[in-house]
Amino acid sequence: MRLRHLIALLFILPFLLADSCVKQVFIHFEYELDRCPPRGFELPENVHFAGWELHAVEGKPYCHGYLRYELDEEEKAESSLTDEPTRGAVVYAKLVFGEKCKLDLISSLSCNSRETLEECQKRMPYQGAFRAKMGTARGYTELVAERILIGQKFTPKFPARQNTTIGRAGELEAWCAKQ
Amino acid sequence: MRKTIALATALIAALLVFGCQHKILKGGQTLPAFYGFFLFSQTLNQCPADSYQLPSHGSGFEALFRAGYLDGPYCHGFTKYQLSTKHGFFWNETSPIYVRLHTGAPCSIFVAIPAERMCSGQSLEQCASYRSAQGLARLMLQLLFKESPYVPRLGTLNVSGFPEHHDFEQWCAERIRKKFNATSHPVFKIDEPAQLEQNVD
Repeated sequence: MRLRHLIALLFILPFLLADSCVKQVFIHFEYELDRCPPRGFELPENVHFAGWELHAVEGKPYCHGYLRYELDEEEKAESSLTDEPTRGAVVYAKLVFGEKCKLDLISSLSCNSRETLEECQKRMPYQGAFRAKMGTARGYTELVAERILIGQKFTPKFPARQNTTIGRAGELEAWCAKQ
Repeated sequence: MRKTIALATALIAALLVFGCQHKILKGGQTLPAFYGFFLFSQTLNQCPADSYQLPSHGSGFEALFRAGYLDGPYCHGFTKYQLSTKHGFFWNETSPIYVRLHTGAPCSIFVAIPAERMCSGQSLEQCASYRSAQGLARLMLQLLFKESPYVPRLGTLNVSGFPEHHDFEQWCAERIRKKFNATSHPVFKIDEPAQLEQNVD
């Protein structure tokens, strides 16, 4: 490799890598419930749906008062081209009791570092099979909200009463600490 | 010169790749297998308000605590705290302390403390690990409820022991599984807590 090739590579490399650099953006959704859960009710440790499993697991970023779930395929399908669909798919969940009862979910989007949040949301940031099944953050989070309470006497109302973009991991930790 | 440029290129690439990688950290499992757990439970003088949440951090009584993603087995519904106590000029950090606030009747608090050694053939009072765990549990509760009207009721302390940490992990998994009578997977059914005891003193 010639010197000029190396120099060119040195300048191009950061841009090439930046495009494939994935950042997680967290969005908070608040769902009203048609009936309030009894005090002491807890969200499950595992939720299964459409060949996927959400399982509660600790990890970073930490969000005080919220359960953290990671998404995984129940069984790896042979036709699955890549592990991309599950990359970074994390949901934080909390039930709020009382008269103003609600289900709080914080969903993560996997966006490319150079695209805006709007572009990312439009692109449908869940990739591969996951994208085909779940689509957008809003659609995916509604599915999680529905499934996390399936079989209960109370169901979430759609669309979400409120949704707020929290930002990246550091901002999520600060947001959780403020709550 | 070429070597320097190649080295710089590799360094930038490595930095970018590592910087961009998604690091989904799994719950730590670094506690040695011989660790056991003591689980303390106590009813509260009154049920916490709907908006009440255990604090994420605090201090007092020459101690500090902070909730977070810490080592030790995962226990669904329990918050892990790191407790640091002051000994002279030094701060000692404990292994993670697990706390769960049960808001159904009777409202109660659960504290699980890891112990290096469980006692056999001894009464609880003779067991040094138990006494030490009980001291930590008391301190943790004092700190957690320091600025709230809720206090654990005297004389309601219950304790269970788990000889190894995986026994505690198993108890945690079974506790939540029992709440969801998963007979017709994936449809769960709630097992509502019984209205047994009032919390008003």
